[in-house]
Amino acid sequence: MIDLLFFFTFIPIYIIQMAMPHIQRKTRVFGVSIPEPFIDDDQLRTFKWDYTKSVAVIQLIVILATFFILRPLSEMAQSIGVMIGLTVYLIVSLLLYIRFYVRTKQYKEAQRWTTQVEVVRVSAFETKFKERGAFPHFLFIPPLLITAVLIGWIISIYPQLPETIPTHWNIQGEPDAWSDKSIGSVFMLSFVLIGMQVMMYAIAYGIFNSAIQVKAQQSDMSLQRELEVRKLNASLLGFINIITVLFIGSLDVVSFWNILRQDETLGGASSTIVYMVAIFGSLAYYMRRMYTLNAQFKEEGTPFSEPDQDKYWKGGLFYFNKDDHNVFVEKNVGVGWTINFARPAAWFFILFILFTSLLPLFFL
Amino acid sequence: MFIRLYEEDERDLYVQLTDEIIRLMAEGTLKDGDELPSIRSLASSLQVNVKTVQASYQKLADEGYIVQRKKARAVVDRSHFDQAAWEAKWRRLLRQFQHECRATGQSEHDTLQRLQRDVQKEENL
Repeated sequence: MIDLLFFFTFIPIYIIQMAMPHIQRKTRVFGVSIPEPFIDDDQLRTFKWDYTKSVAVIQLIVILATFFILRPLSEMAQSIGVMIGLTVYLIVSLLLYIRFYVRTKQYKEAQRWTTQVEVVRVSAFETKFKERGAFPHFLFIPPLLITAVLIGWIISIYPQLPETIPTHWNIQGEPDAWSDKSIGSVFMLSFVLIGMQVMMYAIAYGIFNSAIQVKAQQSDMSLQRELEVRKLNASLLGFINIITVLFIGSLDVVSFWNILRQDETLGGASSTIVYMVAIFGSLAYYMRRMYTLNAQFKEEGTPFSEPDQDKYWKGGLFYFNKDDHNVFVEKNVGVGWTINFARPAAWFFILFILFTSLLPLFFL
Repeated sequence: MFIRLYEEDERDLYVQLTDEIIRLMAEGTLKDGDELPSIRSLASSLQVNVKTVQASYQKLADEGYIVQRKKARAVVDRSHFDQAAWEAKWRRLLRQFQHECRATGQSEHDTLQRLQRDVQKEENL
């Protein structure tokens, strides 16, 4: 149990964290915006490797400590312990980030880079981008149909369901929590599936159509990268959407199927492993693609640079820019996307996520 | 097709933007009937205030290069181009040029020819 949990939580996070500064855009180092003529600076490379080494040593200690403290404990204590270990891990990550953020910021100021560049604002003056193609709707519509069929089937069997239904199972597949039969308890997973799909679609659509900012150097390559990144992110979300619907949907079907035959067990361990492997596999592929797309940029030898972004990134982490109407923007630290807190839509979005993730609580 | 606005340029950002869009028309990449990016998305991608793009589009519309539409993207349409107003503007600028040449003792004709050759050379680069 604990070996499995460790394998699927700490190890991927550990690997991604070590690789993070090398995968991400060269114009952003630990949340500090680097002017384009200096992206291949040697000191920055040293900072990145220092970070990787610090993570490799310090976080390995955190992981091993958690592992050996928890190993002899009971299963219940272990699952709480893993959460505590994860929290410690995240706090250490934050401290490491702050240390390197401050170092990079001080170095940038000492080098007086911003006074040596010529700021150029570049835009691809186009309304349609042929290279980007159409939004991948085919990744979002089939799961919606599957959900509709699932809900239809549950409605049809609703009268035959017993008055008490199991709602949670332990790792061996035996039920350990029950609920009274109600629309809420029977359709809970269906509601979660619908909420998740709406959210995934909104994020993918927002990312895919977000306005493109082009670098001042190698602008053509930069435009192609931006288009590719949008396509890649929408497809990744679409893929995760499909496999999540299949995973949760199949568990839902099997549990109700068993209940109808007076059997309350639900063996989910093997499908969980398949699901996790698919998720991490797609994430690994995504990271690899992002690395290729980001690593191709080199100093051009001109003083041109995009405008400095530091004033929009609070602490290097939170984006707040009233002039940017994009709700979703590429992250400053790490790979992926975040939201523009200056946009009211972003706050609605956070509320929506909170609401959907808390939804199950209203029914239990 | 890219447009580039330089921070060191002495022109206002909205003037630079207007000039860049006219350049795209001159090069033939923007033709009558082509849509321009929406004001908000162009402002986001250039990282300028929405008002800058608004001012630029308004200037282009006033001079008869584009037509702005309600709830739709602006479109290139030069059928309303005001030839008389345009000529009046350049007459005024030429007069200023003339005055500056005479005040500094240069020949208008030679200076103009030399400048034209320079511009031609830049274009061929």
